[in-house]
Amino acid sequence: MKITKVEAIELRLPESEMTDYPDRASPAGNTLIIKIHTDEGIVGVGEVESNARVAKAVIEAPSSMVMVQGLGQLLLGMNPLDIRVINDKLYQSSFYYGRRGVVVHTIGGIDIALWDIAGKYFNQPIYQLLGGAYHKKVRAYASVLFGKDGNETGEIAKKWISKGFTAVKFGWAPIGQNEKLDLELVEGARRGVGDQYDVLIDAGCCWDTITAIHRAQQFEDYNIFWLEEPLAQDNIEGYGKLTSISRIPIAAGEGNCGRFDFGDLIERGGIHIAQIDLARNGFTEAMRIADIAEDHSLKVVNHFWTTGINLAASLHFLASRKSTFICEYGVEETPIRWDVTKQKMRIDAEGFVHVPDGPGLGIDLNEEIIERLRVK
Amino acid sequence: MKITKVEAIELRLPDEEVHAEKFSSAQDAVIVKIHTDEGIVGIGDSYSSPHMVKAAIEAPLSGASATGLARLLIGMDPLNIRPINHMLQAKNLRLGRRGIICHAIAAIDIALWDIAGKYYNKPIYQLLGGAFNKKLRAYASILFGKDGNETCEIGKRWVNEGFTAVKFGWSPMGQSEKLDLELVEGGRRGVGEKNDLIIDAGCCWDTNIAIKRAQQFKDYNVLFLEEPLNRENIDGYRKLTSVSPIPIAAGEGEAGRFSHQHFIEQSGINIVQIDVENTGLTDASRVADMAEDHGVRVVNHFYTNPIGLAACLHWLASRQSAFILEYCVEETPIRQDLAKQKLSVVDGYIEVPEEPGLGIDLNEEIIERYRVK
Repeated sequence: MKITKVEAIELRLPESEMTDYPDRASPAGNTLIIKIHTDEGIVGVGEVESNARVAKAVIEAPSSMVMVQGLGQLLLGMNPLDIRVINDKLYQSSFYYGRRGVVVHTIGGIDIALWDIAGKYFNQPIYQLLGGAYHKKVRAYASVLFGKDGNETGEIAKKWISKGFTAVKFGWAPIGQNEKLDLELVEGARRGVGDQYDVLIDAGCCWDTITAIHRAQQFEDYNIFWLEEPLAQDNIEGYGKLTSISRIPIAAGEGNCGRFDFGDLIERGGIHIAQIDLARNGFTEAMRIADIAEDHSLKVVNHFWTTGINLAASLHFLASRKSTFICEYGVEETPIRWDVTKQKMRIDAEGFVHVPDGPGLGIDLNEEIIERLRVK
Repeated sequence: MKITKVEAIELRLPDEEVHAEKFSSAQDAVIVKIHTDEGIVGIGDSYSSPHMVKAAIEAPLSGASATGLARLLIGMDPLNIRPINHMLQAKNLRLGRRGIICHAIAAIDIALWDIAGKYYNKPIYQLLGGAFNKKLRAYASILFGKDGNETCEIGKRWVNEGFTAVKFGWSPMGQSEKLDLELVEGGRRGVGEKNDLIIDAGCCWDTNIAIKRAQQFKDYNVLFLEEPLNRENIDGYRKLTSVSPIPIAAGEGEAGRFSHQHFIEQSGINIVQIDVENTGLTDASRVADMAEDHGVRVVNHFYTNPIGLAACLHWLASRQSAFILEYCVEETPIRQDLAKQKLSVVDGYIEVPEEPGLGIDLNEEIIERYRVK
């Protein structure tokens, strides 16, 4: 089997709907879909969560020299089942301008498509090819942004609990502005979720080390499930100090690309939970990161805010990891979030989402939506 | 698909042919066969004490933290390779997470990959992510002669058979400086100037002597120096690897990934030798991931039979850092006749099998002849 064509399709909401995105911490307005075609008629689908335009350029660029090559043309003629060999080739060929950041994201998206091809070729769901499922369904938390204050946050919380979620995560602005508002937001979240269910807080990298240590202690009163990204992504020393004191588990990782990047966060940062975005790492790298994490006694979880492709990939990954205990479930109301795949993968009556069972990712693309939203 | 039966078949040469003082693992074997309801049978083998591995597989239930492995496997889907690996360890915590329990799980793990390959109709290397190298350079792996001259004759023999590298191992290396140097000089004379010489010291020296030998052997252009120190002497390895002009290799004594990973981190070795028959294909790949990420190259350790050789080949083919393969040339019927496929070295190279799974078929006559009843 050989790869015959690689497509990088940028999806973007109409400009009229993109107006508040510049200030809004959500990637659900713009994403990159990857399609890899083969001579056996199998097409693999992947997604890159990054800067879609730049990721597209990484794929479509021509060759400049041995360590500076666009990734798409390298794939042509290769056997898509040679997943590890291909990953290495893409990494080596982009060595000079890659190794971290958008290039790792892009290789990740390509890697998802390769595993989708393998699953369709062997007629197995990806979780099976990853070694088998520990879990066939995963508890989901609704992942949303904070309201402007405690009361609005409380209302948002009630809404998602009433829709059947047993956990809700609130993230990003306006947390971090001052102590009073920080506590009000978390109190509002807890009030809205009630005592029976779980509250997760995503601080969106807003505090310095001392403040984060203080907040981790203050938030204990609200029985927070985990505290995510309390510090700047480069503040590894701060993470090290915080994680040795905090009684709330500290989660991070969405900003890290690839296993070398994660390794530092795990070993020096001491985080308790590694959050791995499949559309920023791919299956191959995500499994290696999770191997390292779990061998250091961390738990792993996905990061997910974009399309059903990422959700399906997350679910296959989480199914195959022993330490899986919950799944991020983005609930942003955009066609990029809900309509790119025909399968919605909604939560069941207990608040769990089921791992797709069909070959490969187990999803089908809605080509009409893709046509409508694609950047020409 | 479900596992229906697990066999652990102990093979042993007749007593008069088994030598206690011989550092050879080709005198016996434990063949693991895993049967499925789809008619696919997977085979595996362990680098261990066959009798003990057989016991670990066939033991009854002891409690929540100790049980024979076969009874856990019945009814499971063999394609669930990772959860099965995890479960076999998790339900045997009492056995200490190292050593024999890892060896037994390794044999089972190889059989599971053989089943998967036969199920998907692909060679194992494909399921491991593809081959970086379908053809690997092999070194003839053999024991030292009693002195320099005998070692030289052994070297010549294997170079004449087409090998471009020969490794000599174990005793009588370590008895005296004079003999140590004579053995290496004889080895170099035997392989000639063009081919590679590898020395396996079989854990015989203390730290200071090892440091001295590493300097002395540099004169003979040794490709790598294997197991110079006692396996527990991590401090010694660290001191040695920070000064040795020759790459230091070790690892055959570690079983399972935690054992390997700790050793790699702490010892500073340049080359890790992983035996898939005591660590399994699954863990061997995880260790190799970690090793390569730390700038350590991987090679196989192999001194058993064709099942082990096939498993090594698929695994090594799938590793980017692999540069040579250990090819045991110790002559016993178990090593030579167990499989119908010969897996030969031609002009110093060996090719990875292309048939599904391991790509080998067992010679049931040999099994019957040598099986311990």
